[in-house]
Amino acid sequence: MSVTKAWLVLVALSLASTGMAAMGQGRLFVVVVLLLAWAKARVVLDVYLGLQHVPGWRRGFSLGLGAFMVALIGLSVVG
Amino acid sequence: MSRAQASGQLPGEVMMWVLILSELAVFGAGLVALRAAWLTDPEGFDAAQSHLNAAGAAVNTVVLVSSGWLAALAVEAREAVRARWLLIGASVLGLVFLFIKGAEYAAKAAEGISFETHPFWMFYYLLTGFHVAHVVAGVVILGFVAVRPAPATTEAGAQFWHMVDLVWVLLFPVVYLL
Repeated sequence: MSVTKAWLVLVALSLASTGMAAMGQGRLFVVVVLLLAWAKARVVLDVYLGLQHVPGWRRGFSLGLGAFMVALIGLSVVG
Repeated sequence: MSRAQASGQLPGEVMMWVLILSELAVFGAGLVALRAAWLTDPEGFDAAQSHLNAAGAAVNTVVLVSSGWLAALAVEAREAVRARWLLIGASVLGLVFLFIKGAEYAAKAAEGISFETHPFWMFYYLLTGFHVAHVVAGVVILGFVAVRPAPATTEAGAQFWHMVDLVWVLLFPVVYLL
């Protein structure tokens, strides 16, 4: 993915999460908003920071980020 | 793809990656602690959060990812003059972020909201304030790099700026939206 395409994706995902916040509440909303944040973080790591070219490191960062996001989603949906 | 990337090495400076990992750990722990504390007083945290301007923070998200885009383009630039202008553009958008954030802090101060108003605000000021400190540092770094942009310094400066971006895209929904 090019950096310009990544930027467009990030802007679209940011607008989508803000639109979700204006529309809804509840557990589904929480999960979707955090999944959108997860996707944005992946784009920044993969394209802006260049991990898309180093699959081994990309997998490691994906694992760490995934564990963090699962913890956040878990804490957010039990409340 | 660079030779280093083809051989499986991390792009850019290894020390920048150590910094990125440590900053992610600090902010990640703070965000998890915020969500855990939320469980102790959901109504109080929800009421406190309702004072935030999510639309302003969303604008700041677009400003910051756009600034990151300019920094990433600067890394790809083949001419120093083009890299310089892209870095200056990234810095200016960083200043726009700080201006909007300053207006947000001023609005909270006018409402009489401080660290001690509710635990939510303690987390809010700690997390966003620490992030603002990184934005200030990033603007200064990008400004210095723009004076005489070389490929290595441009990449290191952009890496720091993307770390600031990365932290914000995780902080924004947890503090402002959920």
